[in-house]
Amino acid sequence: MPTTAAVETPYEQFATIEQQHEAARLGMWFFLATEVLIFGGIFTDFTVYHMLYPKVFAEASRHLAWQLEAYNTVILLTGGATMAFVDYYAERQKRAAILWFLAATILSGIAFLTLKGIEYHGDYTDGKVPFIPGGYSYAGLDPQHAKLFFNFYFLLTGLHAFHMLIAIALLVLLWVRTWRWRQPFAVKRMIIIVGMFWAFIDVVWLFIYNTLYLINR
Amino acid sequence: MSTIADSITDTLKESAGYSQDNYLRAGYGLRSWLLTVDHKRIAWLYLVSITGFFIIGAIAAALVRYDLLAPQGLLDASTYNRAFSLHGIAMVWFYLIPSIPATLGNFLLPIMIGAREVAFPRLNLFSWYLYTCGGIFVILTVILGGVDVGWTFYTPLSTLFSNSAVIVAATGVFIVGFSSILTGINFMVTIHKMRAPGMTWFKLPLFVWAMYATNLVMVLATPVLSLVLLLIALERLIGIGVFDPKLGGDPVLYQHLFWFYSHPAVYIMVLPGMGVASEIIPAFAHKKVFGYKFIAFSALAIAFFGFLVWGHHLFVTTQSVYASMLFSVMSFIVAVPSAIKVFNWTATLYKGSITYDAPMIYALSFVGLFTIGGLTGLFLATLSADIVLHATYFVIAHFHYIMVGGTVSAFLGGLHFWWPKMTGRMYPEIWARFAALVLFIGFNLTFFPQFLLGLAGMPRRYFSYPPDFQSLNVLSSAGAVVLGVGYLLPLAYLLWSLRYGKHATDNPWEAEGLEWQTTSPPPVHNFHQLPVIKET
Amino acid sequence: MSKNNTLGPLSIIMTYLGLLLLLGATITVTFFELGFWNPVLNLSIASLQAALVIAFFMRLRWSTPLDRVVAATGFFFVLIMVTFTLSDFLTRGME
Repeated sequence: MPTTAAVETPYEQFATIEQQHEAARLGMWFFLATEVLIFGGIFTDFTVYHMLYPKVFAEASRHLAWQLEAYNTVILLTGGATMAFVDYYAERQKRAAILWFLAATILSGIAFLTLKGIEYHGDYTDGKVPFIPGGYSYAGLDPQHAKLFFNFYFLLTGLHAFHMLIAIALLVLLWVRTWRWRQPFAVKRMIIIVGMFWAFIDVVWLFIYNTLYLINR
Repeated sequence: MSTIADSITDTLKESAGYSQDNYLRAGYGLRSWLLTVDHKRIAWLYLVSITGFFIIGAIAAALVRYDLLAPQGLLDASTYNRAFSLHGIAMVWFYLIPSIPATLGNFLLPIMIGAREVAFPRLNLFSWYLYTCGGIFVILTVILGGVDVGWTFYTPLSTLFSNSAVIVAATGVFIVGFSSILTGINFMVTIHKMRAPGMTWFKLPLFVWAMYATNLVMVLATPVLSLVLLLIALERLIGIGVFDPKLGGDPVLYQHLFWFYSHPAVYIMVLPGMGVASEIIPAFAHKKVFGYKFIAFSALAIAFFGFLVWGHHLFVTTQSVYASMLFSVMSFIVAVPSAIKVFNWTATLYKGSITYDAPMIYALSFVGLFTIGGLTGLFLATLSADIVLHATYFVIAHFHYIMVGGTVSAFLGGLHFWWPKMTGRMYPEIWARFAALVLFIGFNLTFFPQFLLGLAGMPRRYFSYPPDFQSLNVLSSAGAVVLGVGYLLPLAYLLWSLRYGKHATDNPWEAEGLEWQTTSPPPVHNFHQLPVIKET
Repeated sequence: MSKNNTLGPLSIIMTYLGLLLLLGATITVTFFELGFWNPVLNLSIASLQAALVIAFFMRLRWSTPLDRVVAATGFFFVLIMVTFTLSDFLTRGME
């Protein structure tokens, strides 16, 4: 019989629950700093090549599906907002609201990945995939060097999509734990941490969209 | 704030009623070790693992030194390449980087800050399992015939041309990198959030400052390593190439990214050793350390400036000479905080009542050999000199003086210093002093000739060499045998002491520090009674 | 219930609308040939959007100073990575 404990008690190694909360957040920020460095490294390389082949990269960028991904960006930002609602209701321990907004967030993630899949399929039929035999028939400026651009495109969006997959899996796990409601405080704590991860993936996407898709004049 | 102290003390008083009175007695089965969340037991798990990988790396080194006994090379080129690659990979990632932080750091950090545990104990255990997982990939690499791209995985050899188990090796290192990152996060949060009431930053032991700087670098640098290894694997597996010259890619860009991690990585390897020296030297000089704040801040300075120098590994590539000048200046600057530490250790010794117990011999070895290694780094940081010295044995001697003469000496010194605390037993002192001297002699016999070989022009990573170089090579290989004895001795008598060593008192060295105010070995929750942090 | 560091529903919607507006702005910028200013504007808007998400959705506005320093540190070191690497590629071939 799950107890509706009135007080959230800390784990054994912490003196107070505030200390535990602060430690968890700080730990997550350190982890996110490592993620910034991973994506930052790819952006560094991209910047170097963009600087070396500006016209090639600009034209290749114009061949990307920026309109489709504009909608995708809206979907992702919506998911960011619904996750903020999950946070809000988690603090107030409102189980039903958490379940609805978590579901909405999961749906936004699945929608994003679906559109991404459609985009990838379009890339293949249009011949913009350098590393698949028969997948590359780009006829713009300097197709050989343009391969670099498309490689980075798949690298950045692929790594981002991979992080989305993990995040969606975590959100599904959260939904199940919220449904069970056996440890409400533990669920709340996990929501805060996963919420930070989810929002961070939004941040990465914002930079990806703005650089890959839009820096092409 | 008083409620925090009250609740800690209350909980500790409860724990003092447990039937076991030290952490080693809190469970004997395999499960109690493999499923532990006690940072002290996790330290032992790491100690066993890193010893295993040290042995693997040492066998690889033996193969290298065996080949170099004769000018034509006693192994074939392909085998030699796999031998030095395994040596580098095993020693750097599976021994040196975790050595002091994951063993001594894990054991001592919470005790030194007056905490009962690290911030995330289960994450701590998970780190060890990740490390072990990565290690399995290394063993797999060996079984699959090894890898021949060095520990540096330079492109385009690693991406386009090598036929060896590159992806398997890269995966192993990738996994162990995550272990590093998680430990780094754990220790950073622990130091920030778990200090006992009254334990302000400037009361922290210098070992804790060193751990802070080390783990900061671990967290910030290692992700970039994960990235480059991922890029190599993706290029080999799927063909997503970003360093391929045929596409207009630049292999030097790989080197930029690789060394952005790997230069700070060498500070991950040496900073903990500096922390150990800063604890041992005042203890056996029986004098307070000179310039506490200078040593503390110089650790942070090394951590920061260590991120600004990576291009000095690229001096002879197509890197522009202006960038090289920038990196050269930065490399000179990063030497300054290290020098400050050496001055402070020396000043600590001045007018101290020095006793030469084994930990002190190791610590003094550390200071001397690290200084030689560090100074030769300045030669390498000089652009014109590096043209001649790059990729010669001079470089090899330089970094082995720091990593083996430095870090391994410090590791052994720390192991001996805190052995009584960790095990409740004393090691045999005469044997320990003898082994320390054997190590010192063997080390210099092995690596000093390599400075001379480098100056004479012998390139590194070559399985054969001109006949004129043979005598120095034979001397080096002979020294390696002595060095090996210097490692085997502690392995033997430390194991012996676990059963037959004299029982240790709580503070056999009469040293300062919270760890010496608890029992040897400590109780499960580190303290029977939370010590009062004095105003000093 | 910590009132200070939870975003209320109104603030969530406002942040969301702000993000959408900025998205519109950055897309609009690409329709104009502004030369050097195009990427500058795109990246600035991206940074603004990121700042909104980090400050509000990730609650950094109400976090400890330490959290903020750690959050900034990742970006700071990427900046070092980019500038020092570019210092090589930008000065190649200069005499």
